Amino acid sequence: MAHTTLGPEAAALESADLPAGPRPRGRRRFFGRQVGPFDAFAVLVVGAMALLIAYPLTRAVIRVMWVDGSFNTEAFVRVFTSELFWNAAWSTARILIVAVPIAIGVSALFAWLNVRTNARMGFVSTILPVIPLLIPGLAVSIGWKFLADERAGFLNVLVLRPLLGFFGYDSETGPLNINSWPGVIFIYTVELIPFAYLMISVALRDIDSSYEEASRISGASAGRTLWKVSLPLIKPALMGATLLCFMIGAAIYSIPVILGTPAGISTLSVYIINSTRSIYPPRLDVTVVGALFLVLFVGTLWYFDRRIARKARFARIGGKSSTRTVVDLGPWRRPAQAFMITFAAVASVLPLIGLLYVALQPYWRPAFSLNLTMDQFTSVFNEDRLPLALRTSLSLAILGATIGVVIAAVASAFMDRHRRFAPIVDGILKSPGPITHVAIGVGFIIGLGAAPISLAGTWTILFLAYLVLYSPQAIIAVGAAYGRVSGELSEASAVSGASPSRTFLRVSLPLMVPGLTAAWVLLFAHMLVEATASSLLSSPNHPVAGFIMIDIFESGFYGQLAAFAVLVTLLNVVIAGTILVVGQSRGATGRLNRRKGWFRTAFGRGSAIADVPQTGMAPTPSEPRSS
Amino acid sequence: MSRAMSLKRRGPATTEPVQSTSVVEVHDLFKTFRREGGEVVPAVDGVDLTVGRGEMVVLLGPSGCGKTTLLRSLVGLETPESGTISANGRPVYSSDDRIDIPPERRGISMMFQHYALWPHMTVGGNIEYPLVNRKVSKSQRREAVRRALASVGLEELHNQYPGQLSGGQQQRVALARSMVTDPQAVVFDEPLSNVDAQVRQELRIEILAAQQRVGFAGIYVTHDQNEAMQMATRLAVMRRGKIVQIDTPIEVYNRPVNRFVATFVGTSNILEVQGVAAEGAGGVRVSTDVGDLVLESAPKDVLGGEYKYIAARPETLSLARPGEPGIATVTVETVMFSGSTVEFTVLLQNGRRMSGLATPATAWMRPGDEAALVVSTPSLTLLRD
Repeated sequence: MAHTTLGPEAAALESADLPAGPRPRGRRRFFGRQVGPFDAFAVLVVGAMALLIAYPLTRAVIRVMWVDGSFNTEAFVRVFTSELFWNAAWSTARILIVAVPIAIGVSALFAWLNVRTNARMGFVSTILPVIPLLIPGLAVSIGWKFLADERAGFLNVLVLRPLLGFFGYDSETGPLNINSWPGVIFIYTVELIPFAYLMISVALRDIDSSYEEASRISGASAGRTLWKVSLPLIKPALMGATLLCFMIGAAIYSIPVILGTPAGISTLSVYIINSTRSIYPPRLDVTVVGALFLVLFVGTLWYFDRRIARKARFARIGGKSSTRTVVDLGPWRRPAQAFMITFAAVASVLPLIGLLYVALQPYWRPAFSLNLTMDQFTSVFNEDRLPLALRTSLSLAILGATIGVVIAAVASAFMDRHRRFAPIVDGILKSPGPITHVAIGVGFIIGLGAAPISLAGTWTILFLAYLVLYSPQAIIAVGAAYGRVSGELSEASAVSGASPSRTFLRVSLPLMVPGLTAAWVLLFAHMLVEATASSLLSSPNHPVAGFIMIDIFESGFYGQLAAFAVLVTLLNVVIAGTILVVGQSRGATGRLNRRKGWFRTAFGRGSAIADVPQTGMAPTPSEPRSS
Repeated sequence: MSRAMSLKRRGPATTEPVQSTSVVEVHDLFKTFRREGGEVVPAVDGVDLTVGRGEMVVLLGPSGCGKTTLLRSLVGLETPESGTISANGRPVYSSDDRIDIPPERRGISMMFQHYALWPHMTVGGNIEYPLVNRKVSKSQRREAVRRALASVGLEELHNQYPGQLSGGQQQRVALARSMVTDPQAVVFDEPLSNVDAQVRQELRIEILAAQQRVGFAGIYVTHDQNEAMQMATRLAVMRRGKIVQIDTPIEVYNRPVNRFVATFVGTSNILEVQGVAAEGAGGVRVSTDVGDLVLESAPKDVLGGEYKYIAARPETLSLARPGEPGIATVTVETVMFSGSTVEFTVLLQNGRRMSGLATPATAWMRPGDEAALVVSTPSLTLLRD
């Protein structure tokens, strides 16, 4: 065997090619690679985020617990002996115990229908997961208020009462009443289904259909196969989706504040926020203790979710996408499709029609009239604070999404360079998920709002809070974009003689563009309508769209509210859609998808946004990164 | 490493490269991995390797034996912990001299397992990319891309995107891309494991044809032993980070150095040696767990008791009618006719199974028949471990 002998000249010649720094033999370097200015910057950024997450909450807790230098239990006693608190907790539980199982059942059915049967409808699987992105939950709640109000709801007045009149129904109220237990539970269910559907359908898609074929060959019917084979195989996803729905549901604020309050239904989230917002003097200590209770609840579920997900990873079924069996539903096909269309209408189209109709009327009246007017839209712009809220939310969403994506990109690159620190960075940036919007809002108003930092009522406190709130979504979406640039593609560039910077510019970046724009849109769309933390953090000088909607609702200017909600939704769809279409078609693989049309290019399966969960509490989609 | 002694008399075994001009030289290379539990596992454990111009060295071994890590260390995608690597006569890695040239400056080309074609560039753009990086002029690039595409018969796909191509076409484009710079050395990381059998055979021929044309030094990783034997000028069998044996495919097949190589490359029946005694002039009688074998010529140290096993390839076994001379009486278990040959398995009286390969002339046997097992002694290999 030939020995390689290296002259000193050769060493001197080649060492110029090396990244700086000695590489001692036989000793492990602290970092996998040399520490450069980028790493320092990344550590600084992630450290700042960690501080922004931990400091406000810690301060808020200390402020409540330490009064005059001693441990104070008064707030705890006050909360845990309060009938209001237990009522709110009980209401939350009652809503979720009914809404979550229904949401999971409907989602599993939809997923099966769309992935495995001939009732599959492309647009349902496209639109369902992105409904929360396109139509704010607040707009859906308000829209349904117009549709199913006990006295003046359009469905009651224009459809159901005339119809039921034939059967002797004669009443000035009902039959539907959205401000009721069934009504609130119904909207919770509608709100939760997209999240559950995404998780379950992805899991079902990953399962090799030969398992089901084998069951059919063994003599089982389609229904029995679904029950005995398909569902047990996706059990981890079903359990994960159930936990996720409980976590999201426990923290929802906009639905109960709009639909529950008139019916005397107060959830935990409403109790926590109203203790500061609607009581004078504000009971900050009650808010903090309530928020702690909520975090404890959601955090426990989140912990179990992670444990299940970790186990499920080993049980994951190989990603071979063979041709899928299509179960022929026979006579059930049309009814199944009708059911899905009805749901899509219930979740998106109907409430939007309700909003638009009220927005174009002089006032909300329970009658059908084509005498349309733009007065409500004019009134929105005649008032100072509504355009101001739109501008504030727009600036927050645009800047917040941009900075949020940059932070996540920096963190992802850092995690890619230093795999050993990846779990820590990942953990920090995803921790706001289980902390919930309510608790982060509470932490910020007390920890950063009050002296010595005194940011209360500023644009900055909203901006910082939004960065923290949506940091889990940012890191999940940007991480997915990183994962799409498989190791081999950049390695192939390096062995083709390209420098690292050229590899980044010519290969990695173009491949990441769709994913990065998807991440931006995800953050933008959610920041534009954030209402929960904003209820605590926005101020007359810096009102934001989400909070303003609740405010107008409580004042009872329904026409104006409808017009405002229509404007916000329109703004969201136009900006998010445009950016996604541009990002997808400019990006690497989008070029081939011109046939698909803009909506499916932007939101459809295979687009970068389709498989990214809309909530920060969701588990990361399977790490596609090859090692 | 113990050397095997063969009973066959052929030309002297050689482990030296056939060619004198070496393009890639690896010396004493080490690389360890840390498992999740903290355990340190050697992935490449003191490997020496020289690959000459026009040579194709195939690294063959079970998964996890370190062949891919060795390959990636050569091109610079992994950093070893110690040792030296040189390519085209200049050092590209040396732990002592702290040299670690990044992959883009090593001048070694690579063909990847999953094609690794950039989905946002056309076929032409993919192939042109290495030339752009080497600052080749535009007119020369156009000509080189045209030639590279013609060499794999895909001229008409110049403006297509990889997503529009079949798997076999994509792998051809990847081949053209790795050849477009007329590289001195090319490494192949299981490049054919994702294409179907027919395309695989075509691509093997195309890779070897490209090597004839360009004359590069090739290093080829695979876990398919047929492919390994077909492609190799020299075959390196790896296990646990070490090269166990490196030689021409014929030598590796006929003279495996140990039990592992004998069973991993091709099929071998392993007989356990139970005793050795001198027999006649220069011959020995070896008693095994199957029966006694008389070897007419044997290594001198055979009586020392160091040889524990005998490897018998299936083609050394044949069957005779019961009562005829043989080392044992067996029951025929299966008979598989495949044209020019017949594969069979037999069961010994102690329940042991052996497999053999015979000509159709002996196709009289049926499952369940009794037969006498005949072993052709000149082609057996004595193994120490």
